Amino acid sequence: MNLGESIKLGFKQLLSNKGRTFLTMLGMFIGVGAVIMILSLGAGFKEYTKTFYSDIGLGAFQVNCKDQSSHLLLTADDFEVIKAMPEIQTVMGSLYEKGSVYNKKGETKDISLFASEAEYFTSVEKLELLAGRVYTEKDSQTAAKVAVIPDIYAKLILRQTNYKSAIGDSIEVTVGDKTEAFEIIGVYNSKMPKNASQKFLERALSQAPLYIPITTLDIITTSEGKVSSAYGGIKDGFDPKEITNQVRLLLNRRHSQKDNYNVTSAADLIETANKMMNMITLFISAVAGISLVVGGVGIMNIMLVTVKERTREIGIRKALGATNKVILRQFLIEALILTIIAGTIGMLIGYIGSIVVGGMYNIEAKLTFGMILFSVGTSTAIGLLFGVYPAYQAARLEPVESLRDE
Amino acid sequence: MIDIQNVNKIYRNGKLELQALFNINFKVEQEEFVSIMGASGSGKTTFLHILGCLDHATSGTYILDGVNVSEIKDKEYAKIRNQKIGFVFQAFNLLPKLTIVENVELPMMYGGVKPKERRERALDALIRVGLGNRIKHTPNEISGGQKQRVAIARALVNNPSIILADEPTGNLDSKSSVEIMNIFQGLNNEGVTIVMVTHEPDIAEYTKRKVVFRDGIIIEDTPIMNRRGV
Ligand SMILES: Nc1ncnc2c1ncn2[C@@H]1O[C@H](COP(=O)(O)OP(=O)(O)O)[C@@H](O)[C@H]1O
Ligand SMILES: [Mg+2]
Repeated sequence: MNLGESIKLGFKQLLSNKGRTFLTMLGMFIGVGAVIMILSLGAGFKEYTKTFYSDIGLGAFQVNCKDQSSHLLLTADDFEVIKAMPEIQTVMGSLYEKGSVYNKKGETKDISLFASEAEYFTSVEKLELLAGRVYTEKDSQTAAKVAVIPDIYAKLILRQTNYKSAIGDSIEVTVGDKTEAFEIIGVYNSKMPKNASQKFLERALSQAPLYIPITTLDIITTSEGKVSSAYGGIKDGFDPKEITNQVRLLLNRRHSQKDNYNVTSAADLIETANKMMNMITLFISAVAGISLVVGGVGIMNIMLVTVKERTREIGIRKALGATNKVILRQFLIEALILTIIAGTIGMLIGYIGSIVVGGMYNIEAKLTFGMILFSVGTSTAIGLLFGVYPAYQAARLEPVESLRDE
Repeated sequence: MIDIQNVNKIYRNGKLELQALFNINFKVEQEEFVSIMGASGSGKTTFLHILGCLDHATSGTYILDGVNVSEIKDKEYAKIRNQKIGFVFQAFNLLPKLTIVENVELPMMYGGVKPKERRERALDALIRVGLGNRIKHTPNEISGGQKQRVAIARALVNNPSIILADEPTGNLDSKSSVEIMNIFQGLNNEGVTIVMVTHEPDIAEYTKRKVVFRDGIIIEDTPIMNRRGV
């Protein structure tokens, strides 16, 4: 009996008891499925964070004031000093403000404003424009009252899905007790999930900001050019961690503070996110590992039952000339077919699961060669580990004893 | 061809010991047709299992085709069973999930015969026992007599030195029993050596030589005078 025939026989045997075969595989489905799902999501997540920051580079950093009292806010002088550092490419202030607008029915809706330099769009965040343009250096200098709005603003407030015709419209924005009219010069893609509910969009509206030139903000607020946050870029070839630390020390010293300024680089953010992802992966893998062991023991159990049931068959085969080795191989192959198929199905289940879950969070699930190798490898290992004992039990049966078995 | 010298068999179950065979000496020559008789428990099956290399004697020598098989390892033992012995059991011992022709092919599978040749030889063997048609049926779909014929075809198919049958008619009606004995006689006439256990005297009369066991010893070994069926 050659290997091919043993494999064929193994399939035949497993197919002759489909219900049992399926139940035996369940534990492996769950175990392998869970690992593949988390690995696949994790890989997609890493990819996502990478592309998210790839526009701006790992050297991009962000400065935030913790205490936002007027005398602690960032000033034009601060920016001069930071810019003077040889490792710094650029730095610019920005400011978040809460505001409100009226919709067509006359109800007030909360919105947010984000004020920045024109340079922000070229070196920090690249907006995907659906219509119109972003503001320029000139708009900034003249403190033009222009705004770039999110697509959901056009949809929910203007009731306008043709973004082009929204360009040039005037909107009235209220901040505190001041109300000013802005001209819409652009509409950007706020990248909402495709099938997001109305409720979700309403909530998102207050968080997807209207972009306005930072100089224009003075007209509507009392900021006097002081800002609570800033964006910057570090020149290539310098360690972002090191430089952001220097900026942090510099700002704290200038304002005679101990620790009022957070300076975070994109590299830091990615590192934190990945660390968290790795921890989740480790945790789920541990749970899945337990499930795999339990599944393996289940397989061993069923294989032992199978050997018992087929004692007479084993006796007959031995009487006809089957060696111990051939019998051992036969049962081992059955265990391996069981685990490898279960592992493969588990892998597909996990991958499909990660596509579904990933779809909800805009993460593209990835199935790498390493993951396929992992699934097949683990399944093979479990098949061997838990199949060898039952197979050995079968192989060492005495032909005379097993023929007597009824 | 078979030469058994001073063979003893003792079964041990924990502290319990039971001697099933005492100092057996026994020879079989080529083309013999031997029946082994005796009361239940007299040691017939035990003896046949030793002859068939399914079990080891506790002591003594067994020479099969000039080879001393009493000292052989398990792996070689399996090979001898496959190449030199054809076994026929009272309970047929066909594999129920395989078709008839697949059952007959089994010994050749373990003997490493190629699939095409396997099928040809299996069909030949089935024709020899008069079962050239129903080959795609499973054992559950045929009668007891037909099952035993399949088992004989399976025993024949590797051209063994000897066919060993343990009460092959024990589960059959008298008509089927006669059919089986006719097949055995036909094969023996073609030169096949057969040793068969039976406790039915009229079945023994189809053979050429009668050996009687009692309590683990041979008490009679005589030629059959008035053979039946010839
Ligand atoms: N595996 C065994 N363990 C213990 N005693 C056995 C075993 N097989 C057979 N015997 C005993 O050996 C004796 C001979 O048995 P057996 O060869 O089956 O006789 P027969 O086939 O003539 O009926 C009986 O007493 C039987 O109980
Ligand atoms: Mg018996």
